[in-house]
Amino acid sequence: MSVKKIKQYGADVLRKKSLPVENITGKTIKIIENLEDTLKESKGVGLAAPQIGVLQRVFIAIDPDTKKVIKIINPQIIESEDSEIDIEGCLSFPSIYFSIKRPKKIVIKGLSPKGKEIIVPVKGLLARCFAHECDHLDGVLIIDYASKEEKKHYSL
Amino acid sequence: MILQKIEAQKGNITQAVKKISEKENIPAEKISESVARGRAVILNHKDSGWTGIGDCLHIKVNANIGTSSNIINIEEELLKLKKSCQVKTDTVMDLSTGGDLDNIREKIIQESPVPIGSVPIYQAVVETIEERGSFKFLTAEKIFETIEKHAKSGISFVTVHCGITSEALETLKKGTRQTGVVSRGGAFIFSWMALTGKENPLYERFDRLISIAKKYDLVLSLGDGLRPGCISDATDNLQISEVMKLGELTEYANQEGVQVIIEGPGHVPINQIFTNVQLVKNICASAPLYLLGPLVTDIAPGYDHITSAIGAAVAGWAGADFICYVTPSEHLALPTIDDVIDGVVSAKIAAHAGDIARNIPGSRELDDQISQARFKRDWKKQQALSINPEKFKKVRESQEIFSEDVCNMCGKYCAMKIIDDIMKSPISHF
Repeated sequence: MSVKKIKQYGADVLRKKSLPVENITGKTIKIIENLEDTLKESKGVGLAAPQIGVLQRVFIAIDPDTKKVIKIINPQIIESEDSEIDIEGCLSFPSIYFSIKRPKKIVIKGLSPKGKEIIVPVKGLLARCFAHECDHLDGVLIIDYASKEEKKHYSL
Repeated sequence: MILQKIEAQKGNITQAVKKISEKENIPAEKISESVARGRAVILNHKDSGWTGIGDCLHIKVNANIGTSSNIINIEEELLKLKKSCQVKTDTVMDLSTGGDLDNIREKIIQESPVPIGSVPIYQAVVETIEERGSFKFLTAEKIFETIEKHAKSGISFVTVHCGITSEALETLKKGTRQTGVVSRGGAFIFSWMALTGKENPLYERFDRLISIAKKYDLVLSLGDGLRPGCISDATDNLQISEVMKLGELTEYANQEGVQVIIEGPGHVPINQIFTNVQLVKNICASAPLYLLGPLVTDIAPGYDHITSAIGAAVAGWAGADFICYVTPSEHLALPTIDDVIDGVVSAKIAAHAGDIARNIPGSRELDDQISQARFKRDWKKQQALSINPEKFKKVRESQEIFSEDVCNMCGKYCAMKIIDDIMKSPISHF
């Protein structure tokens, strides 16, 4: 277990599509533990494996109310409802924030670290976070949602 | 009978002082010293409930209830007593002028958890008119007998219009005032003096009043029969000359160990309130000052709980110690139950504003507590700390509550929530 350096915008790994986890092994658990240590250190809400340089379809998030760490392997958004625009930051884009339209509610299907199929309905901040992490697993970043004006503002 | 002022002058801390000290979280020695110097009084309610009023204490509020000659409903008045106590009035005055006055007064005293005051001249006049057709037949004896009857029945303080004199009557006759005399008790006494040609017995035989007060440790609230009843009459010679008489009587009462409150105006423009309060305090040996408002404008019948609360807040800041509520019905009708609640709450707000301005211990802390709960959108705590929790609940629940986190005024654009969220978690990073 260790705190990893978070990959920053420009790193090739952030633009690649992650591979599904075929078998949950000790290596998968270690990735999750590293994600957890790194996320806690960075004081973020969620973190996807590519952000620590691992191209596996794994992400974690901290429920802001219960502080419980949610760990999901091979996530798939199976339902999404409504949408809202809010300011969003990314641990791979320090000090850069974009207004992004995301679903208000989503339902995610995936596997728990023990390999059990889980269905997780979330809303609000966690729905935004889950959608953001799923984007990371497909190499999609917040800048892809940014308007010309926003990019100009940050000289991107 | 323990006389609170005499005991305080001897340096004895009475049980009453101890209780008030505990209730208000103010040192007993400080309260006792104020009582000894006549700067504070202690109202005794049935030898078990005491309320302190004066310079070092929280500003107190009084609610007037009672029947009128037109509307006599004892149950309604008892409900007003109950409701006014629920919204934490500190005292209640029974100003009944209709029905069986002894029975009404006794019932109110019996059911009240707070000290009860009265204006005995009302009963003396009402009974004289009923018995003999005109109050010109009122006698000094009848007035003093009625005062003693009230004291004996458990009344804690009486309004006695002692500062009215023949000299003032002559000045009044010159007609310099827009609204003449607006104090009912004052009007009775002036008229009686005009009809009989006699001097005011409450002034002439103040020593007799002192004897009654000593017998029952009755607090004398020296009435302002000449209080200004409109903005135009504020701070005029009639008002000030009465205050000067009250100053002389206060000095005498202090020497005799009798507790005295000074009643004050009335209607006063906001820019004259500080002057009025300081003038009365200076002339009357800093005795506790009891104000009816003052109302800061004459143009708002139906809203006089507001015009008076504005004046009372400023007066409280300036040094007033006791605020008589004014209800929305003032100048218009006998107050309803809702009027009584609005009147007490308005006066309590003014009193609390005065307490904050005067740094009365424990006052500002209440504001800090409710503000913290408001910033956290903790509705239960806000309700519990609010001046009228029932009203808080009624208003909040009058519309569908869409979110426990905000109110419908701003909804999701609640400034406190926006800032609170940003401070807790500036922008979420994923």
